[in-house]
Amino acid sequence: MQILSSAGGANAASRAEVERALGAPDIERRDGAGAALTYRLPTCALLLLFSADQRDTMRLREVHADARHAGAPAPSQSACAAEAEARRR
Amino acid sequence: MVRVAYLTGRSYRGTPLAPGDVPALETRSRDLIVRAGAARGIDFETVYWDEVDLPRRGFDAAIIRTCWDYTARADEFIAALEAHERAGLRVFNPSRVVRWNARKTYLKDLGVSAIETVWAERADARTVAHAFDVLDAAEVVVKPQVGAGSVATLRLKRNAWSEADLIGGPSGPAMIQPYLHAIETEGERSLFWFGDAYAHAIRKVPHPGSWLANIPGQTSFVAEAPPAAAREAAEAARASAPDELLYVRIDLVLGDDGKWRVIEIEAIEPYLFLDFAPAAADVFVGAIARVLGE
Repeated sequence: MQILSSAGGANAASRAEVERALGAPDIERRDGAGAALTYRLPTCALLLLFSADQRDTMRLREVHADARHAGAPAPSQSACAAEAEARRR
Repeated sequence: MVRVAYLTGRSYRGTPLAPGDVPALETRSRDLIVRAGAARGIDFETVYWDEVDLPRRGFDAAIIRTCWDYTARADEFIAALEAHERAGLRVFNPSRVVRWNARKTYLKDLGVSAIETVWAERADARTVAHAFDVLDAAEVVVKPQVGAGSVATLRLKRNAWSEADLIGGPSGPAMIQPYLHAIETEGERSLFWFGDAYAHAIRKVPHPGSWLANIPGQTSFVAEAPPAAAREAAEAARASAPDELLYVRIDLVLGDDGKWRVIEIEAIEPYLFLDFAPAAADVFVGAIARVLGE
């Protein structure tokens, strides 16, 4: 998913762009200029880390995808993001 | 010429600020204030808030402005303001107001004008679960009673959170509020008073698909007269302050019941949005002139 693969780059997706694509997260942590969004999906959990750039826009820095069930194989980021997209619709 | 110390921090979000600088997003606001001051015979000099010799440098007053590094040094900040005052330098807003405003328990004094809040000594799983029920909320926001800049703040959906999610949330006294969905459509209103004069209001509407009402780039800021009911609620909140306020920003959102609720009184170092309402700079400086007897 292109929006996630931009993580860490100079043109990383903004938080608004991510939420437009994936919907609202289930858990959000804010700490000053940083934020962590967690999507709890049927088979995977997607953790997205943001920080503010020089213009105060929250940009995607890191993406982590993990299985939600013990013993299940680690999902790919794109498969996990697809679950979030599907839930949003 | 009256001389006023324009207090700023030594850094903004980890980036040091050179002497005389303010964070870039505040440069235009400061320029407007400086220009309005020049027209009234008031000279503003940008200095760090923790410079110990400020009272000996001939300033007639000090105005707390972009001291946005204070949250990590809160005790030191209030101590510095008190030391300035003890040494004879008038500080606005005074340290007594800062101390009152630093702890969000002031919302308790507003009664039904304030957003419904569950207060807790700790944000543990039992307390948060209880708050979901008390607030009858599908989503809640958990934040510390003391803090600014969304430090250690959590937004949780009912049935989608676990005890582990509370790690990284408030470590001490906390407050739990319903997440109000009107913020995504109606946005948030910020109303400003400088001295006794109502100055301006800003409507902050998140861009479609976003809900953050305070992030440049994701939010539309519009100078817009507030609904009468919002202004009434803000006026009531303003009256609850323990002292005269040289400046105050009162933030409100529309509750699910259609009533305006105060979510914050910001009387320490509010962003003034003067770049969206330039004429208000003169109202700000006029309030300073009045308290200094100019």
